[in-house]
Amino acid sequence: MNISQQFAKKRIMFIPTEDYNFLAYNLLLFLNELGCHSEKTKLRDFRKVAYLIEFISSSADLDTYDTNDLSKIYLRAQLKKKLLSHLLITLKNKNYLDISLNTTHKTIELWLKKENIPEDFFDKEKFSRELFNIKKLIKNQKITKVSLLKKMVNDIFTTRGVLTWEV
Amino acid sequence: MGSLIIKKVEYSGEKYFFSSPEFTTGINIIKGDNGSGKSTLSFFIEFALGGNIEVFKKNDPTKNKKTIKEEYKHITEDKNNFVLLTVSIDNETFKFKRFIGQNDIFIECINGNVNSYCIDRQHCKKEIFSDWLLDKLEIKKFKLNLGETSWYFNFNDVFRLLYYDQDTELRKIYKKPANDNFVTDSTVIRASIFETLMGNSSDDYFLKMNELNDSKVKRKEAQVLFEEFDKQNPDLKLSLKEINIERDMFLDQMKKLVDSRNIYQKEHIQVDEKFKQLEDKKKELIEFQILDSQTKLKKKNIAIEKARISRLLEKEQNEIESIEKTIFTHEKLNLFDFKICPFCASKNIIKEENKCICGNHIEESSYEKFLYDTGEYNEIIKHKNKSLETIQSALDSYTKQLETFDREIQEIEKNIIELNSFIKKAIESIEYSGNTQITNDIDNKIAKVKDEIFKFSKLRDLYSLKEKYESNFNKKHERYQKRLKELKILENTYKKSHGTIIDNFNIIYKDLMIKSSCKAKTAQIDDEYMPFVDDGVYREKSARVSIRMMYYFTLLTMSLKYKTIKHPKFLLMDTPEDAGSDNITENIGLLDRALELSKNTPNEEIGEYQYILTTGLEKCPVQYEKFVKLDFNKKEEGRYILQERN
Repeated sequence: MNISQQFAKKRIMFIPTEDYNFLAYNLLLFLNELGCHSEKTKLRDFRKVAYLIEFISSSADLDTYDTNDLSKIYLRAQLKKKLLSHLLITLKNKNYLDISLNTTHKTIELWLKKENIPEDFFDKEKFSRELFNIKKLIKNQKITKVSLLKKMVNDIFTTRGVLTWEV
Repeated sequence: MGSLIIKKVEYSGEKYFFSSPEFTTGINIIKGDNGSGKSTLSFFIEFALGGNIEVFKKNDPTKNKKTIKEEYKHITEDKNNFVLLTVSIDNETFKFKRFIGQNDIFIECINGNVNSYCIDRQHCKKEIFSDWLLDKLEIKKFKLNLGETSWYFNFNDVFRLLYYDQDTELRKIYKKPANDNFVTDSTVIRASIFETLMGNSSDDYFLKMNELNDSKVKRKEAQVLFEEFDKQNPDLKLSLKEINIERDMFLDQMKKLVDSRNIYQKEHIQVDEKFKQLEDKKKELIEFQILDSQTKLKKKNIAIEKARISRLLEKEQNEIESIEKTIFTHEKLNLFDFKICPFCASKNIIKEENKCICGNHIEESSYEKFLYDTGEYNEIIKHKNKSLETIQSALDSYTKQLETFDREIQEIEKNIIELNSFIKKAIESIEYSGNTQITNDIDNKIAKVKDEIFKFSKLRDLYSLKEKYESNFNKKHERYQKRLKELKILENTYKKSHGTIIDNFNIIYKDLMIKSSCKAKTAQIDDEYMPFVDDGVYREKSARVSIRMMYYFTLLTMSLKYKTIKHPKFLLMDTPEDAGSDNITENIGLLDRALELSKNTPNEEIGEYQYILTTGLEKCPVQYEKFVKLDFNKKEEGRYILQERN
């Protein structure tokens, strides 16, 4: 396989919403907006992000999605959880955030280490769409640092007719 | 011709009985004093022949006392009593049995068969006794129509000239009828009785007369119907033929009018052309309407397609933005630079060729998850932008198509509006300019002619009816005329032969009357067959016995002399002397002369007859003593007709 062919495959296999960098900026923007800047203000369950990323990157107006769309988002969220867990290790190794295990709830908790993140990363203009969507989601879906994943999935997907089986 | 002989008279009751000796042909004399029962015997005979004997009837106790009449108590108070008469008709023997108070006669034939017959025609639809008897005597029965009533000729009527009774007023000659009224004793009926007994062609004559009367009644009915119809429809002055001609004229006129209307409509074909044009426009309109909906459908599909592309474009644009942000993140955070292990953060990466981080062998081409550097990301963006261009051009083409459709739809709609308004105007113009006035005129005329035809149809019915009544009347009238003619012919022949009979009657009657005790100079019968003696000069009352007796003898003579005479050669005389004639014996003796006169030639034998005479003790001619069959003497010897049973 020559280089161009190889790249052709890489290009074809490229899925923007499953790219680590894509997931990374959405996660960091979300944590920043939610104010998870220390252990005290940690996000209780990182998996919530997996379900919200697509709304953050396109539209937070849940009424524009039909059941079919939501169902696809729900399914892809399962993969995103795995990708995010890999990403978390890298982000921790890069010291952009820190992780703790909550044994009671059996969840991974995380918070930003904003001091290690380049200052110009949180560009309000560049991420205006994402920031707008995150604010809207937090407001409409009453998402907090400590809100339960199960309740959130239920509010967003189950009540809109999506068959859900795992949280 | 038929002859009637009484052979035996019997009476039987619980209290009394009587049985006569055998009566024979010829003379039979019953002698007796007053009240000994001579008349009773006559009553028995008349009763058994269907006569109406008033004294045999019981008085009705519920009736007014004024109507109480004589009653023969011996008979009426006897019980289970009947008269049995043995007769011989043309040498055939029958027995007539009739119970007192009953109106049926039992006829017993020689072979023992018994049949019952009614006497009264009113209560019997079948053949009555009189019909049977007249039939046997070969006298045709007939009906006379006298105004409103009909009169049937019965044996009782014949019997009026066979029975010289005591109750009848002498000058009336004919025994008074059972139901004496102006009809039964009318001249017409007396004349018919005489004519019937004189036979000849009178039967046919009367039958024809009846037919004539019948057709007269029918003609009258037809006439009344016709006149009544005429009265109710006085304006029918024309004939059915004329009405039919007029009706046909109107029918013809109607046909012409309908034709001319059709022709007019055909001539004004431009109306049809307008319609054809209109039809074309309509077709055009429909085509436009179809095109309109087709174009709109296409536009709708394209719009859907455009929306999809538009969404795709947005998505692609969004994706490109995301990749740009990804590059930004990659550059700022440098998460995967392959100089530090992404998992353990060790800076000494010993990555072997064709080996995964996990140490397993893997060809790079088999990688399922790639990490990209900025160059690669940009390359991807370039590709994305290319496809974005394609999508954009597709979107542009859809936009253009939509614009074209919009223009087309606009054009089509304009056409539809124009066509609609054209068609509307065309229809309005047709309605307005159509030459309905002319067709209306013709239609009005047709309606008028139709009315006329209807009128004439009605008239035709009326005239048909009139014609029917008229023809019916004419037919009946013709029939009547025909019968009248036939009757006239019959009448002429009848009168001719009858004239001869009357002449012969007069000869015998005159002969007997001259020889009788009244010593008439001349005698004959008038038009009503009543005696006309000595040219109408008044005769003493006692002469009336002779006049009546000779009349009865003459009838008997006639019956013996001429074969055509229907008189049954039977004569019953009940005590003729009681009217006070001093020389009754002489008169009775004239029977010999009468019998002599019946001979057509001097040597001819006298025909078979029966003469039953009841008379007083001293009145019987000496030469007739040998004919005495019964000798009653109640006063002196107690020989009374009814004998009490022991």
